Amino acid sequence: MQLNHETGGGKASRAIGKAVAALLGGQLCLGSAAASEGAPRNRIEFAGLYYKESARVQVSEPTLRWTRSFSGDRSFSLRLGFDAMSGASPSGALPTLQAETYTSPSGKSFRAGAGELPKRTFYDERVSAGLEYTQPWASGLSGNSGVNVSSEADYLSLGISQSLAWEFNRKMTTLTLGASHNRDTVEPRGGLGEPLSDMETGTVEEGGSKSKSISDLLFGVTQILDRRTLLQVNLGLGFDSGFMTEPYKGVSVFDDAGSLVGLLRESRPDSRRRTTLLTRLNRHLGRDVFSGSLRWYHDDWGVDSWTLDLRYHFKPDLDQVWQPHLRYSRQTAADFQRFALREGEPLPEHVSSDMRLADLNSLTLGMKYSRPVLNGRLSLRLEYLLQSAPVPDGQVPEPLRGMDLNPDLKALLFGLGYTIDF
Amino acid sequence: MEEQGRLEATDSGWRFSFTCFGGPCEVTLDHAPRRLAQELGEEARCEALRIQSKFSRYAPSSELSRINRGAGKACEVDAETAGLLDLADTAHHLSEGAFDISAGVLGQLWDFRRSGEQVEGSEERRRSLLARVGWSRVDWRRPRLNLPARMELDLGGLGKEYAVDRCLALLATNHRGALLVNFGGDLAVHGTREGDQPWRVAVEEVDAGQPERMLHLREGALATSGDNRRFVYWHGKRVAHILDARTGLPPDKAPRSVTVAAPTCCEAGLLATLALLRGAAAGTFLEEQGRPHWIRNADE
Repeated sequence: MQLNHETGGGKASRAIGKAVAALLGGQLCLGSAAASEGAPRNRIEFAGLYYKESARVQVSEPTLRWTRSFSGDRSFSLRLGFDAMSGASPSGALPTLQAETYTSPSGKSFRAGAGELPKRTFYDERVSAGLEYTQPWASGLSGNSGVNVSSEADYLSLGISQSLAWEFNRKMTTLTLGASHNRDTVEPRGGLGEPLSDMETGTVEEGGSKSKSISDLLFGVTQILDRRTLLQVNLGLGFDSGFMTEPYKGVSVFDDAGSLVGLLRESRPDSRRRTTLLTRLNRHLGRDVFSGSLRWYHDDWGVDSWTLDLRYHFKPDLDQVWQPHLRYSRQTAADFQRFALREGEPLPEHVSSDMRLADLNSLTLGMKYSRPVLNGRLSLRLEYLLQSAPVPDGQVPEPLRGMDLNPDLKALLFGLGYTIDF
Repeated sequence: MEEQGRLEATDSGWRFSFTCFGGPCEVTLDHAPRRLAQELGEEARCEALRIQSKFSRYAPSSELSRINRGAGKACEVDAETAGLLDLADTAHHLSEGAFDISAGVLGQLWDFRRSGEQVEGSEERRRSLLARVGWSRVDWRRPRLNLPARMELDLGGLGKEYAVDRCLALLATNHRGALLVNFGGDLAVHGTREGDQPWRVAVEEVDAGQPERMLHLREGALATSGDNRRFVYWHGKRVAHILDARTGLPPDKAPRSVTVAAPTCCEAGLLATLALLRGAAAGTFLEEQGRPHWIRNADE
């Protein structure tokens, strides 16, 4: 039986053969890539996040992203976000043996009972927006340009970014090169105080503001190892300069009897070099996907961290996805991180009691579920976060030792997302 | 939870079976490791279900439903849909309008499932339904489609054959051995079997109870139009359910089924359908096309 196009011969056979070749031809060797060829032209993504710490900050964070795709692999996306943050944030001061009242220069005060972590209550709103544009520059080479802005009552951040992705080796290998720059300005409420000055009595500059710049470079390689395995390695280099001190955070000063004698504003170096190395492996197992990544971070403030992130996409059928998630990280403290100072000791040039710069262990356990709803896809996410940075005994006077001076942070995070293509 | 696929050993490899396009589907692989057979079978199943759901007339979230809901205004379609519309357009012209993907509504005139007879009062309905049919009134300029209001498209006559060709191509890139993709009797093969043995495939006979007809196939594809589940009675004779879009009626002296061999399943399926639409001239038409074919004529 001969079935060649030539021997078919009939008019209908030839015409149909040609249309079939056009239909199948462009897709035969592309495999699953053909599915994305039919990508819709508009996508709306909504994400809402609700975050509740045991007794601290709660954040609700709706964001909306609209992506419009054009022919020739060009796309444009607009992101709008609104964060409402309210609750109580650690002031940087440690709990004390007696109840204390802390007053800021603006006259606002807060009170913490004996053994209670002093916190500053606050309410902040942040509005953010971003624009991105992706287009091919040459065969296999595509560029992505972006601008973003975010604004709070006391904070403004402006940023630009540019990245290039080069696909070669029959699309098995992708090299990524990216650069971004952010310029942030803070104008603290209640005025800008001098680092290391007394938080309650020190003078402040009304309406004073400070800036910092954050620059990042990214080098990435993504390699398809076989038809089920993808390996990604990213190297990130960052350089920050300017005012990085947190204007609302202080460090407690205790005397040897464990009584609080003062609260000093924290002080951080005005430059920081950061290095990040991320390795990620994605492996398809039948319909399921396993994704694991290991991230190493180092900066010249002395912070080193390792983060392990494991996810499994379990697809019981074509519609539903269950995704368990485990994340664990360990971090060493910055050289100048101190939970407290002792009265009479020479003042260090830099000091911060920020838990995020301390010896910190962090664990996240979560589950995400998604399924089609109406014409789109709904996802629900629940995560539990545990962060632990106990205060070393050597950092506080004898009477305070043994107290749980920095209780573990326990948070629940609930996320809701909806994506629709049209 | 939906039914999953099933893998079983054959004399020379593996067979993966699942249900899609309203019937049994299977992928047979010679000389494949069990795990690869399972993976490729799953891949074929996912691809078949993807095509089925993308071009379903009934699922509100399908691409085809999106197009049909947009009737009355212009919309853009993706490359895959455009390729299928181009193919349907070609078949429409070749059949001088008898083949028409906007003719799905005419199915309402016939009771396919049970008696196969025309439904009551169908003569007036036929005229009113024909007003909603006509690919020539659709403004199709790739990638823009302007479907007149109240019209709807049905790609049911192409989807299964297209899925067979797609799955064969997908699997052939990852499997060196011989391969058969058979979705409810529409099938395609790839690669040479050991000793150049042909694939022996059964073509369902129009009458249940009769022995299946076995065909031998070494390359290309086979597709059948007309079968024993969907038929209509026309002038007292049981004929294939294919309707001429210009009249809403079965072609005169249509055979009960036509099986065609061609390089691709899409071509085989369309040639079989176009042949049925030629009625008594089905055989002559297929002779002209130079494609091997098997025709089963209507009851005497």
